[in-house]
Amino acid sequence: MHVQALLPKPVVLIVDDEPANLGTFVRSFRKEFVVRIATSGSEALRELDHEPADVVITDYTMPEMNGVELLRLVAVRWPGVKRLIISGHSDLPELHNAERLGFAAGLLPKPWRKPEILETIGRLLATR
Amino acid sequence: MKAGDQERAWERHVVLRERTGARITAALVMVLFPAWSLFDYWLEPAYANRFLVIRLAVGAFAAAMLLIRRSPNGMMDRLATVVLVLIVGINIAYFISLVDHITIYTIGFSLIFWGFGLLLVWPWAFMVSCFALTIGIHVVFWLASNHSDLESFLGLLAYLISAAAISTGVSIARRRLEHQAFIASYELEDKNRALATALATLKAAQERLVATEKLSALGRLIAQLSHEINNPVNVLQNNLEPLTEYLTTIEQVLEIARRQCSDPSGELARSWSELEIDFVRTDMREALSSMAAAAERIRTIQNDLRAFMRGDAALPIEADFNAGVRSTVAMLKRTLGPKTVLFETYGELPPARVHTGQINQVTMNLLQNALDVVGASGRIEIETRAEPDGLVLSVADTGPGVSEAAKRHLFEPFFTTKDVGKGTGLGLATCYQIVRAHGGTITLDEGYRNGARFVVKLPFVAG
Repeated sequence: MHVQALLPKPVVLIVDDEPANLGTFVRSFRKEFVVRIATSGSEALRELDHEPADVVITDYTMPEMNGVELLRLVAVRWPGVKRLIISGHSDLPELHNAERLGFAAGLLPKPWRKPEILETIGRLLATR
Repeated sequence: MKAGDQERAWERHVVLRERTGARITAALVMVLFPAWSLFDYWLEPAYANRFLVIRLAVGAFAAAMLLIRRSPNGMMDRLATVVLVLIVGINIAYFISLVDHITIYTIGFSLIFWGFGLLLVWPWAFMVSCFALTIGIHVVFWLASNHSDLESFLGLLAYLISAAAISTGVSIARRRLEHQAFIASYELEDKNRALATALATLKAAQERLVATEKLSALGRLIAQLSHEINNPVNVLQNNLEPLTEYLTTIEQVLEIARRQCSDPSGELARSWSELEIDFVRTDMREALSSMAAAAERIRTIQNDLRAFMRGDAALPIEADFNAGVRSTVAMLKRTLGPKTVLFETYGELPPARVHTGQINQVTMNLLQNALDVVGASGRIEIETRAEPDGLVLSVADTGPGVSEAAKRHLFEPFFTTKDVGKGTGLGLATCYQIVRAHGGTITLDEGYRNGARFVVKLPFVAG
């Protein structure tokens, strides 16, 4: 715990078109991560351009660019960034395809559970 | 309907028909034969008294015939009618051998033949035998007499034979016609029955279609609703934890402030008591935890709804059906009551093409229901086996079984017999939808008496 506390906090970029969801995420993880937010896919790309993150977590259902499209771009431009997708429809074939093709390292359900997110991110970052 | 059934029905019909014919014949003989006495007294007064006794005896025999108990195969009626005809025939032959007015008596004699032709629908052999006997009696009487008037006898004989032949012909034709009419009406009835069955099948199919339509409309609504609710539920549920942490932080500060301003008559102490801060602190935590429970409940409902909607998701894969059942059973075993026993029987199954997640959901829902109904003690049996046309999963419990009222709504969404807050009423509806999507069936075993047994049957080659 002490060793971990000394390490710099992982930077997580959360992407969701619903501001209340962003606020909730920030509030829940402000101690564990440096949380940055984006309300759309294009904003997320600009954010990453500006400063890369360790993990990108994106909602699937968003106007303009959906979560899978965003992660596909992220995978090409920042292959080292871990990518997760959140969706209420975890059984959509598109999501499973994204996971199978490696665009997303995992699917998180919505509503998400804090322990599950911590565990998933911990596991992803441990493989770096 | 089979031809044998038709023949049996015709035989039953003929027996009834012959019985009616025999009884009408008997009734007519009973009235007309004694009534002929009027002619006797007018035309043959010398023999009238003797004839009256004979005629009354024959009338009495006909009356007795009407009182005979009905025999099941109609043979009794036939026999009695034959005897009646013979008695009448003997008498008339006897009369004719004595009387002077032979012509008028011969006409009376022939009435029997005509009446038979019209009234009876016997097989032709019976008719011919009966007439032959009657005519034979007449011949015997002529031979026994002094052989006088050969021309009259031959003329009479020719007349009687013609009458018998025509009567038999009429009877045969009528029997045929009646048989045809009977077959036609029987076939019509048969077709009506088939039509009624077809209508019932059609109606059931229509009802199923309507139910399926309703279900799919409902499904779309649920999908939309579920998606709309996801975000607010996420916000509600996931803000509760930070909120609780914030509360703890504020309480810590509050405690520090209270320790530092220890003056019991000071402003802090006064406000503390006036604003019931001790109560507020406890109550706030209770409020937060009940909100957390409520949010969790919404999430469970959401999960069930989502599972329910998983009708036509990703592609099916070739999987070990037993492995799926085993893993689901292993997951739920932890929730077994202290005195509940679970028996697992796994048959040897070929690989099946299924949506593994969905099929596990079916096993899970059935098993969860079984666990819920048996409670702390009971017995649950889970079995898989291969049958010629598919694989079978059955889950049986020793619970109270399913009431007749519940049976009607068993697979309908939102129908539940569990306590409020325990079940969403989607478990079996989900099973139904998933199994149907796999081209299989799910049924409640009506013959099972120890509790409830659900039987899932999946075809080996499923979409």
